[in-house]
Parts: sequence; C-alpha cells; structure tokens
Amino acid sequence: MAKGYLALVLHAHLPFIRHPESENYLEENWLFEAITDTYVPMIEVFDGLIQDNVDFHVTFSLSPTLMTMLRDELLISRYLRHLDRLIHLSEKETERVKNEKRFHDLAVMYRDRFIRAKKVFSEIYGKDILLAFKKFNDLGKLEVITCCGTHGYLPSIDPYKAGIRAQIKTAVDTYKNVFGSVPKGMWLPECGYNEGHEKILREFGIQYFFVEAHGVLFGSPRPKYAVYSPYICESGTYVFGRDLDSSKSVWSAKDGYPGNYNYREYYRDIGFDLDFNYIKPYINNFNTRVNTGIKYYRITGATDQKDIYDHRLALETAAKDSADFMNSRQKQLDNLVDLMDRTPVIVSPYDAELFGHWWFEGPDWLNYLLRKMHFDQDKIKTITPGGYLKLYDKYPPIKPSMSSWGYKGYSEVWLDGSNDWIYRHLHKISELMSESAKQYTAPSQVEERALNQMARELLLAQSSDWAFIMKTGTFVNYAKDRTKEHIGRFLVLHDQLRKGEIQETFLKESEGKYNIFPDIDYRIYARID
Amino acid sequence: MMSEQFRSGTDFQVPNERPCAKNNYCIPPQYNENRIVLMVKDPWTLYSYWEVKKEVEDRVRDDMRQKGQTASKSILRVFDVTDDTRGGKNGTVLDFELRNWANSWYVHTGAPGRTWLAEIGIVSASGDFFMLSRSNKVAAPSYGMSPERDKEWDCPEEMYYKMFAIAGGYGGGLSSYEMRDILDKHLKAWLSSGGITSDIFGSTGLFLGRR
Repeated sequence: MAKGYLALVLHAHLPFIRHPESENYLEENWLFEAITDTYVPMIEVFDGLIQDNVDFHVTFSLSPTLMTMLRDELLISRYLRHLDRLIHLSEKETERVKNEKRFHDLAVMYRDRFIRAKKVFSEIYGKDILLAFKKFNDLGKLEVITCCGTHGYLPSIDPYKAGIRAQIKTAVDTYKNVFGSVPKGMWLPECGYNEGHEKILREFGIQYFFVEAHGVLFGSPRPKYAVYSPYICESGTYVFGRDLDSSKSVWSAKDGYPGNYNYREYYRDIGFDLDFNYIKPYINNFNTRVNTGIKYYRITGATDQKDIYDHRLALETAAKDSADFMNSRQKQLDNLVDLMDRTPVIVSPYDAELFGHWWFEGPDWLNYLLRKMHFDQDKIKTITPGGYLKLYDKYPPIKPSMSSWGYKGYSEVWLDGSNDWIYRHLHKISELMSESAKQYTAPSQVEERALNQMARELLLAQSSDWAFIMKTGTFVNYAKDRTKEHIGRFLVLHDQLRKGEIQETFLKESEGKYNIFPDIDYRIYARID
Repeated sequence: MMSEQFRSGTDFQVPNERPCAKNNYCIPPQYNENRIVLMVKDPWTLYSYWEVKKEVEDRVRDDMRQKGQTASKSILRVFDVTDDTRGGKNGTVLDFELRNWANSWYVHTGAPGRTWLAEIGIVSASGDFFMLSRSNKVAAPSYGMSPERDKEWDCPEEMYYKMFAIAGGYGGGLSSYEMRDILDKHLKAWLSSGGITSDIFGSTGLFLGRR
C-alpha cells in the first residue's frame, strides 16, 4: 500500500497565433518549436512507458488555443516546412563539423531527433498529435484536462461574469470536440482564482481545479491537510493546492534541476552563433536572428566560456535528478503520514513547455522519474486528481482564497503600469458584447455571424499572454498590436451591427483570420448575474 | 496609507511595420460615458480606472453653485464597506486628490480581507463631497491563516503550521512557535520574490528567449 501519491500536472499552452496573411511572424515559430522540443518528445516518453508496461498516471492540460492550432491545416503545413528546413540545416551541420567529433556527434543527434520528430508527427500520428493525447487519455494513463478558452486571466474578467462563463464554455466545447466528453478538471490560467469561479466551473460539469498553495492555505475554514488533500467548495467543485517544495525543485532557474551545469545551454544557439547568411535560408528568411534549436554547449557555469554539451553526461544527471526528486517526495511523505489520517497527495504542476524546450533533458527526467517510481519502490505512486477523488467519500470544505502563481502570488503580473491600460477597453467590449447578446434575440444570418465573430475577438483580446508579454518586455509590440487589433475589430463589427451596415468583406476577413471556436454561440453573453 | 499614481491615460502608439499594425486598429482613448471600475491587485492594493462624462460633471458643478459652494479639488474616495450590507459608508474612508487629468489609480489600502467601494467626485471649498460616479464593490482576499475552524475537520494552529512547514520544504522537528516564525518569513519571501515568474517564466515566457 502506497504511503502517498504524487499528482504531476503538465500544462501545455500557447496563445492563438496564426497569420494566414503572412509568413513573416516569427511568433508562429513558438508552436513549431514546442511541437518539436516538447510535445513530440513527451509523446515518445508516454508511448515508451506504455510499451514497457510502466504503470503511471499524469495529468496533462491542453489549452483550447493550442488544441485549435494543432488541428489547423495552415499551421500544420507550415510546421512541416519548418521541420524540413531544420532537417536540411542539421544535415548541413553534420558536414560542417565532420572533423570535430564532439560537435559532429551532436549534429547527428539533432538530425536524428528532427527526422524522428517528423516520423512521429506525420507517420505515426498522421499530422494530428492530439490523437496521441486521446489515446493516452483513453488508456487511463493521462488524465487530459483543459484550460480556459483563450487563457484569459479570470480575476481580471471578474466584473463581467458572462465573460468567465464564455471562457469556460468555449474550453469545454473545444475539449469535447477532441476528446468526446466534458473534461474532469480545469487548469485556471496562471492559477488565477477568485471567489465565485468554482460555481461557474460547476455549471459546466467541471469536477476539480487547482490553485496556488496560498489559495488553499489562506482558505476558510482552516485547511486540515494543508495542500495534501483536495477540498470541496460549496458549489461541489473540488480544489487542489500546489505543493511549493516540489514545484521549487523543478521551477527555480537558480536552485532547480534545470540549472545544473551539465544540462544544455538554452542561449547558445547556432541561429545566433553562426554566420547569418549560412543560417538565413533555414529560418524562413526572417531578417533577424532566431533560435534554430541546434545548440552545442552545456550551461557550464556563470561564465560565457561554455563547454561542449555532453549528452550522455546530461542524461546521467537527469537520472540523478529524478532520483533526488523521488527521494525528496518520499521524505515529504515520511513527515506527513503521522500528521494525516488519510493518504496524502502531493500536487506538482509545471508548464509543459519547460520540459524539452527550455530544459532540454526535461522529458528524459520525467521518463526516468516515472520508471523509477514504478520499478524501484512502492512508497509513493502517481495518481490523477480524478483518481484521488475516488479514494474517499468525503473531503473537507473550503472557500479558497484569491491567488495566482504569478510574481507575488496575486495579480501583479497582469495588472501593473505596463498593461493596466487594456482593462478599460476589455471591460467595455465585454459590456457591449453582453448588451448586444441580449438585444439580438432573433438575428439575421449575417448579424449572427457578426455577433459570433465579436465574441471571438473579445475572447482573443482577453488572452493573459498579451498582458504577460507587455509586463516582461520582449515581443511587446506584438502583444500590444494583437490586443488593439482584437478590440479594434470588435468595435468595428459592433458599430456595423448597430448601424445595420455589416460589411461582408470585413466580416469574412475577420472570420478567416481568427477562426477559433467555429461553433461559438454569442448567446452565452446574454446571461448576466 | 499611501497612494501612488502609476500612470494615467493610455498608450496608443503602433510602432510596427507588420500587417496587423498596418490595419491600424485605433481604439478610442475613452468611451464617452460615466464610469468608475475597481479591481483587486492583491490583498493590500486595489486598482481603479474611470471616465467622467462632461454633461455629468457640468450638472454636478451646477448643483454645487446652486448650493453656494465652490469646487476645490477632484477626489478619488475609497470606502471600506465590509461591515455595511446596505452599501453605506461606515468604514474607513481613503481620499486621494487627483491632478493632471489622472484617470486611473493604485490604491494601497494596507488592509487585506476587506470589501471596498470607490467614488470619484469633487470636494467643495467647505469640504462637501459631490459624487460623479460610483464603482462596483470588490473584496480583497485575507492574508494568512483563517481563524475559522470546521468542527468535523478541525485544524488547531499548531497542526496548521506543522503541515505548512512540510509544504514549504522545512520538514518537521521544530516547535510550533519556531515554525510559525520561520513560515511567516518564508511565505513573505516566497510571495515577494515571486512564485514562478520571477526566475522561470510561464509558457509564453519560455518562448521569449529573454535575450
């Protein structure tokens, strides 16, 4: 009998970035890099574990914007071209460094990885890797859940409850289209929670959600089991709190595993290190240097003089770090068992893209961890929240406390001098959306299309990514432009609707460019409470 | 109590040559309406933005004149309405003088766990307040251990801090007094140094490269 459980939660998300009008948006590369670096390697890890009969249970959140992009023909065709360019570049690299054995070994590794990624993506999963996640979900190995429609930071939408409802409904609908059922759980964007969200989650059949540690620790009544048990809200929704200790060991760039000197250095990419004319044909002819994903150095230390990356040494380190993680969780359980009259669960959520993209060896670390937990011990087992909720008939009650997992634990990242100007506009168009939804109870076909597109533009403007980027200071113009564009498109459509002068060409162009949520129904905004 | 105006007005520059900027979606600086909105930033801080319709301001100034009063200054007034279910104004009142056409404000209440309401208005020379607009109510979260205990799932303070110690990675073995002290510091350090986003970013951040 296990002394306790580990609930690993991986949250995969990218904002909706799709530019049919141009291939010159390097922001589209984020999806391509994430597929090659993170999603495909993760799929290979899970497939390997299943093949080797390793018992494991992991929760995987796929955001609706990501699911939509992963099934978008235009983006998939662009991804395959991107991958072909990378394969060519890596082949050229094997030639360029053929006389330097350590570099050559790495060039071969990259070439083989890219070729393998293409095989997994195109041949094994037929250009639809959501099928892999559906398979893992159906097998009960992954509990695939989702996140709000466009990753809107819910506390900032609070003045307009209909907006929160629309974020959740579009998520549930997108998930149902892929997985055929209502998701059991929901990852709240940035772990952003405020009182009342649990009721709306319940309306849509969501069983559980997560909050940052102090969302539970400062909850009321005082939580008997700290973050080591779920709690039930008045609405009947369950809430899990994030464990700080296990989170820190992976997340922290300074003290966490990814900072180990043996791991691959993210910043030394040939996209920046080699002659620009050599690189340019392989980076989609961007007129600026970008990362290619081919990196030859290890972190080494706090120095610019980097050593050559040694993949075998890095894998040994990943194995040691996974053992350390498992041992640390076992020690945590030793301290907990005498204090709890039920089996503790340690909830450890991470952004999926940390694994593979940033922390190159992350998928290997996960692979080793899940194998070690299965073969080497029986003190701690992996579990999903849905699985844990079947263990007991009753769970303690709580009203969680407002919280997020961002800087300072609340809304600072998404509400400060760099981005606060957006809220008067987002709230205004939320209000206009609700007014229009109430007013147009029997719209014409074209009015209905305009209203639905207004809803899409509003949702896209609410993505927490834009405010986050404005705050962190890179790609700021893109984030500002997108925010203004969605608000602007909304206002143009609203004006045309109000005047009875809907311009078909503009509407069509908006529908074609921002084609997320094809089955959206604007009437979700008609309900006000 | 301190107040700090971070910025006023909005930023509409579109310095970008790419197609979505070329479409030049200009968004209006204001919407010609009378409105003040209050948001919670953290347990100690609120954010408010507003817009005052000219006709409303003219009417209020007329009213002041008719009552023989002269306008002295524009004020953002924030009320603690926690204990007043009728939306009255019996709690703390914080006043902030607005200058230079300010249209937003960060209000440092320093008081977690309270419910707040804001009004924008004009104070006369004799000190009377004439309201221009009233906001929504917001509840700032409490900070720290809840005093409320559930009979069936009771959690004495000592137990709370023992569990908290494990959550924070401090293990067991300390007295509850020591733990409480350490964990208060730990929590403040954790929250003020940032959760995850201070040293490794969220997923979008991972793609920014931070060069």
